[in-house]
Amino acid sequence: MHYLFEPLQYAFMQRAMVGTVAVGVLCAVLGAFVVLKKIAFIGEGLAHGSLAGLALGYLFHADLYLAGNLYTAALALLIGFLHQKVRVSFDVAIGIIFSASMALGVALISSMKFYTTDLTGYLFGSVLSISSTDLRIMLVGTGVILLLTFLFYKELVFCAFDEEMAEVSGIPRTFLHYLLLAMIATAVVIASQTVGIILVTALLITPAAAAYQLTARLERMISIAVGISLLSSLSGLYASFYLNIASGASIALSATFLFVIAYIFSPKRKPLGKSLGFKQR
Amino acid sequence: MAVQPIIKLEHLNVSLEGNLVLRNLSLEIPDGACVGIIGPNGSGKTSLLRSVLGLIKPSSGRIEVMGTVPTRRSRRGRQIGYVPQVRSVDREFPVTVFDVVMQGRIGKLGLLRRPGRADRQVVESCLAKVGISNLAGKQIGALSGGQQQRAFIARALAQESSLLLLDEPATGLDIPTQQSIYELLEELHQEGVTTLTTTHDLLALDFHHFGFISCINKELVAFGPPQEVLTNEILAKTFSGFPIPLGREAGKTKGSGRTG
Repeated sequence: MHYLFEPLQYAFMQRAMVGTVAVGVLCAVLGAFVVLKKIAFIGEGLAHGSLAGLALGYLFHADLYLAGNLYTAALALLIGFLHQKVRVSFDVAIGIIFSASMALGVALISSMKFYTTDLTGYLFGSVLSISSTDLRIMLVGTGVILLLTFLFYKELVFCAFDEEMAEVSGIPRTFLHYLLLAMIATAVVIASQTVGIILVTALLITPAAAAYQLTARLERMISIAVGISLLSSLSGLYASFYLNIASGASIALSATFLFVIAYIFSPKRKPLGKSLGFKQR
Repeated sequence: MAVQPIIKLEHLNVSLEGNLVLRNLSLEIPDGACVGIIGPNGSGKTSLLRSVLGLIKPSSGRIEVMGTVPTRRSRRGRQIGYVPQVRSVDREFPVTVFDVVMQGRIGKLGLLRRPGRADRQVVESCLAKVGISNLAGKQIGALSGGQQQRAFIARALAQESSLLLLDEPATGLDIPTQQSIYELLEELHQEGVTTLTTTHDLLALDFHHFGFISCINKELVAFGPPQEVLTNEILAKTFSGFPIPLGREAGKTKGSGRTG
């Protein structure tokens, strides 16, 4: 018990705890939609693409966090637009946009004279150094996204299951698609605070995918995903504190560990091959 | 009796990816009619239904459904029941059959409202109508193809529309399931619901359920009561000259098929 509570006497650890919980819930909920829509690549793509947003923010002395959020949301909409209007597949659209944006980010950073610790924090996650301003933006962002998801829940599920029929019923499918993309973008940037942009996918995909192994009910899947996400985030946080490893790595590794457990105990015995993209027998 | 047409198509031209799929098609569907749309694969049957739904914009011509040009907004206010062609659903998607049928209520409900007791009752009665009440709690992917099709028909019924479009609903299903779909069409006809049902499979078609048959092959070949339309001459024209074996209830008279 001593080991659980001792870190909490530090203010930075309290902030880290609150931030981690918020990010864990946020990513698990949105992750369910990402997994069901089979757009797992979006998290990785947006996270990497957000690098240019951070670099631009840094360049113009803007709040890195806000700049990253706005830039990445715009990036997500651009991916959606490219997919719909130019009619390239969604994965290809992500690939084109994210690599271009990341290239821009690398170009900008390489031209900067001073090495910036802020930026490495974003890359690898530095949940232990969240400022109270960051935390406030995090909580507001999380609250707004969860509220929107709750309000449009039935429509988002309908679109994920059957886009055409949703459109036939008069659901604003395109609007919801862009809304989901923008929400994922914001979540990715928020999550990059705790796990770093390189490992955002771990929080966005792994808990939802683990929960997917355990139930055939969507509401239950989301609840289980939230549980798994919190468990891995908090255990990762403690591991980061005691073992002095990057929080992103420890959180991602605990999530992966829980996925393996979920797979082993899956009542559905979903073949691992299918989760990895191999053909089912 | 003068019945208002529920669907009015005037000189409709529809192109998909630069190919003309429907050419100068004019057609009036009377309110309450039970219409069978027949034509070979690629004859534009699905495009016709999708145009009526407002999912594709015609390159020229005019569409009027229930008195208005179909748009997303109009679809929301005045639902059009739709059963898309059988395709594989995501078998792992975590929704139950009940949830799927409830999707038929979502458009009507509006953005911020949750389904209530009345909606659940509609869903239950629709499940009963297609005979799968016992499967309500199953995951949609656990059902057989025929059962899934019944679930999608129940979802369209849950839209409670006076117009129902069914795209090849009987294709690929066993005879009892096909028969029950045709019986359902008859039931809907009794209730005053207008139905448009497409098929390319003349062998499976049970003609006597339909009040009207529309033969299309990119353009309208014929429209009228089955006994007038289902002649060898018209069918040969519809199916590009192949001799067509007719299904269970072929047209009896050799009437002159008028184009309508």
